[in-house]
Amino acid sequence: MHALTQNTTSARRLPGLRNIGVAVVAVALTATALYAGLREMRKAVPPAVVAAPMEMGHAERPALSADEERYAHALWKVHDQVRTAAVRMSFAGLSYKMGDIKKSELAARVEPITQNFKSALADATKLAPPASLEQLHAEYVGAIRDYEQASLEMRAGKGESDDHLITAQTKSERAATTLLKVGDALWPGEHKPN
Amino acid sequence: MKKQLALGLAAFGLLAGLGATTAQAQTVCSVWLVENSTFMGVPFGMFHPDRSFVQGSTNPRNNVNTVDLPVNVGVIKCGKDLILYDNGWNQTEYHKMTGTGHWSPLSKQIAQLGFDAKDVSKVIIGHGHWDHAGSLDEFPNAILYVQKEELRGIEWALNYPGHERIRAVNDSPGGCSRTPACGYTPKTMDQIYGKILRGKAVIVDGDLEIMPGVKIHAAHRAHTAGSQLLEVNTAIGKLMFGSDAYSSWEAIRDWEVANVQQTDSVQQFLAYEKCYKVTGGYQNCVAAHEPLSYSDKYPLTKNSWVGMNGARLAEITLAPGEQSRKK
Repeated sequence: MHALTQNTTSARRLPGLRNIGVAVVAVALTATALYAGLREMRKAVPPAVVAAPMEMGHAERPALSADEERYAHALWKVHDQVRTAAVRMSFAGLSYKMGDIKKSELAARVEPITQNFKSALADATKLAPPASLEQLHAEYVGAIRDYEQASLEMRAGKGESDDHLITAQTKSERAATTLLKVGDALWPGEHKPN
Repeated sequence: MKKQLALGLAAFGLLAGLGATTAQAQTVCSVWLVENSTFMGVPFGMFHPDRSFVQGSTNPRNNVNTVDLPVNVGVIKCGKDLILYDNGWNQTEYHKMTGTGHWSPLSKQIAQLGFDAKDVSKVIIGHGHWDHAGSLDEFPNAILYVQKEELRGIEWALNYPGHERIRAVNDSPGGCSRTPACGYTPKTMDQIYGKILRGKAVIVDGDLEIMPGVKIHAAHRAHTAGSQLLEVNTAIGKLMFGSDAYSSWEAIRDWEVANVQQTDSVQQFLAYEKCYKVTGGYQNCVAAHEPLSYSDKYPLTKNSWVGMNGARLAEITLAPGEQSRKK
């Protein structure tokens, strides 16, 4: 009986012991897993690269407001026209300088580009920028005017001299610089690292 | 027989002498590398697909998540000629948005080496992308060297009559989406045109030796339509600059593609091969965006220091008589 009682008691104690054992094993396994994980994480740290310190006073760019975003979205459509026309204009000049077209053909090549700029200018002047972007908008409109003037200048030349092309390119480069500045402010992800 | 032998020896001596003269005629150049800026935290796999990050991987090839990519510009002094290979870029708002670091105008960066921007005589662009050809206006006296095929490639995409995704300029504010001639801003193109218009450019059609020991090698479609490499003779042997055809030095070493843009992978490998052939291996291939630049892990660039705005410079090799410009 005693034995039976003892056995019965042992039998009753067994699930408790089993639980403790399982817990011990679980803790051990968890500790092992954690240790292994930490070890792997340490291994996964990128190899040390000689890194220079970031510049002092690096300022993050503030996000555009909703009104500014709306304006940026609207101007993008104009920007797309202007940018393509601008690159076409550079290539019209390049085609002449590379001997693909004669000077007499240059005016005809540029004529539709002038129309592109006129159309873009009309679209841009219809936009109402928020007060915070009025200056930027004025600069952008000025850039389109520069481009239009440059295209007219390219078409105007007579004779052998390329002076009018140089005058035109000076204007278009100024416009391109403004485009980059405005684009940089409104769509800084426009150009990805290449 | 003796007479024939003597004639043979004389001829041999003459040829050997000629060979020596040719070798001596090659200019020995000094070379520095300047970090024009650093693209921070770029996913490694985006840049170098075979090195894509695998969560939990213990393989050192795949356990690096992001990398900082320098934008390297070569500064090469050959006699009185001061040559730039590539010329960096300038978009300050972009820097703020992306956390791009270490940027300064390239003209100021080379001033740290004691060079005046007005004295830059030649700018060779490995290709015409905005981050490699974006500072031409800082070097008004320099003659630009650009491949004809680069211009043809852009023009082709500009005039392509088919699908709108195949275009020369970006069609979404989010970026270029790998369109065929993506990466050419109106300003970059206008400045290239401006140089050509003013007679300050050489449109290169294929290979061209621009001076003894300094040679342009066409590497068309190795990154863009008209990519070009630059071989430079130095005291440590030939160097080969590759711009984005050689974006990653590790990729050249391991024969893997990197920074795939308008890249034909076969042509990129042939460009790698050119470096192996000309320089005798991969050690002297100069990469544009190698994350290990300016460290012992990229030995060619290890002689480095930190300059303006945290950007690094490296003195790669000096011609005989040239004083160190390391500070």
